[in-house]
Amino acid sequence: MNMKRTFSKEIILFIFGILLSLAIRLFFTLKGAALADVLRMYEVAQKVLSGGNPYQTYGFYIYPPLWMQVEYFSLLVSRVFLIPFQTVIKIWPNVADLLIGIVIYVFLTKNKVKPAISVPWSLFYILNPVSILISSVHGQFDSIVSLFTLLSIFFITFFKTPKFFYLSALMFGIAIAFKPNPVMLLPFFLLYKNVNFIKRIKYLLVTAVPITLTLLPYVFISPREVLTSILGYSGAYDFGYAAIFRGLWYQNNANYWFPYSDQFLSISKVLFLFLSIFIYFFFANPPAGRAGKKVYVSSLALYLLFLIVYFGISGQYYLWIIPLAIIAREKLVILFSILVTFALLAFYLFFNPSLIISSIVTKPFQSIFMSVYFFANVFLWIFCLFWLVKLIRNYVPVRKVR
Amino acid sequence: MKKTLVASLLVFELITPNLLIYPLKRFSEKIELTFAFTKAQKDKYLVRNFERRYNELTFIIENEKMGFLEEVAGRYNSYIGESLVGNTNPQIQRRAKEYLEVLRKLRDKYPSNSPYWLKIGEAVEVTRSLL
Repeated sequence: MNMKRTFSKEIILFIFGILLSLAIRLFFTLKGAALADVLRMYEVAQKVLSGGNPYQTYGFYIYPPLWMQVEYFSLLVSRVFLIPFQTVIKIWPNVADLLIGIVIYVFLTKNKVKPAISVPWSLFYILNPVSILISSVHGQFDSIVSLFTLLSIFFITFFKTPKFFYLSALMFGIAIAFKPNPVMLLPFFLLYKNVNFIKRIKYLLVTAVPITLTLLPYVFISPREVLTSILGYSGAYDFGYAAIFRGLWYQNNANYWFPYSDQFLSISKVLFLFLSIFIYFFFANPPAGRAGKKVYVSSLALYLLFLIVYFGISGQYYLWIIPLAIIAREKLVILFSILVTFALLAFYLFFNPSLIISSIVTKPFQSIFMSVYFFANVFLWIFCLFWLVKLIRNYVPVRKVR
Repeated sequence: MKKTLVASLLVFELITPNLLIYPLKRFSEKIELTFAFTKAQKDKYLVRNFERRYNELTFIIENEKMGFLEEVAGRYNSYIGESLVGNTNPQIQRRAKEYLEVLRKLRDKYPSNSPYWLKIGEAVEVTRSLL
């Protein structure tokens, strides 16, 4: 009886949190303008609507084709219901955010976490300023990718039957069909279960189905353009240590384009590849009695490594960390979220304040925001490094004291 | 552009507006103002900050960090207004006259009606009009 009452109290809190999150997200979505990435999404949708191929212009569309279809559908909805495109396109990542909140709750409950703890964790994601900024303000769709990645982790972690094993592969494949970043996590999924080689190959094949099916029509029309558009994109130099260099360079003459970015990017690609091999081997075989093999902890570690080492970091990449850290119940995610919020807000306020609220009157390119952006990124980078070291230390074998 | 003879008349601030730690300097100034209780303390604060804004502006021009010019000149214009309007303190009036002369010289390093000339010219005009 008492437990039932407590449970219903948690549910009321959960529903209240969802409603509050909806209200905040709706406010920013309705106040947003068709700027930056959202403007490009609109242009891509128009191109698709007019029967054009967005891949034919280099750099015009850089994702796999599935999101392009969402953009096209959003434009149709916008025209039929007379809702601004920038509002419609932001519905999908926001819905994904709310669904992530529910998946987190179910995941933690399945992991025998009490509702009194799993509900606040779930609300921490739903009401997280980083997820609100990325989905409702910036209009990026990384939460959709995270949702399918999370579902994939959920199925592979809790279900033993082959049906769920391949369902995990399918979810993972859909995530990749939206944005290719989860590809880097694939070795963890392939190595996670003690299954034979044939099953691992089958997992890989099922993962490849969504991207292959959606990519095929475009590959037939213009293979070179498709591959150069998707594989040629290396990210923006907006966050991580790229932002630190940008800030230092800015002091010279208010110039915010760091001149050696391309060189750093090339080096960072090689360095990340090299270090990620270490992470794969290290987390694939954890010693007995330590943290144990958990695909979401390994994924969290790899994403952190990516944020530390890679030069082409965009703001939305920080969102990848949060759901994984929550299901791992890593309390450091709270401080991480605060630092990312500062970094994101300062970035938007410096480059494009109208992105936050279209009627905002603050002038862009104010040095004070460059300072906040710089220091937030310095602390964030150090913090990511500290977090990764902590995760690795949890996996280091315990030495027996004689 | 090489440094001119004007450079010998200039005093530069330790923390200049191009530095990322500059907002900390501004923040400390706000704290200073909060603790300026008497009129004499507030006047001293105004004179000191007027000097700082002028020193920062001349640093930016002399060191050709013109990417910061608009922001720094705007700040100087705002502070000179705050310091001179209704202020009969002879010290600040005398200093403003000296600054006007130096700013004219710095402005004339640039071709007439060029963007930099116009921006420094704004500071010259604001100073002149308030004297």
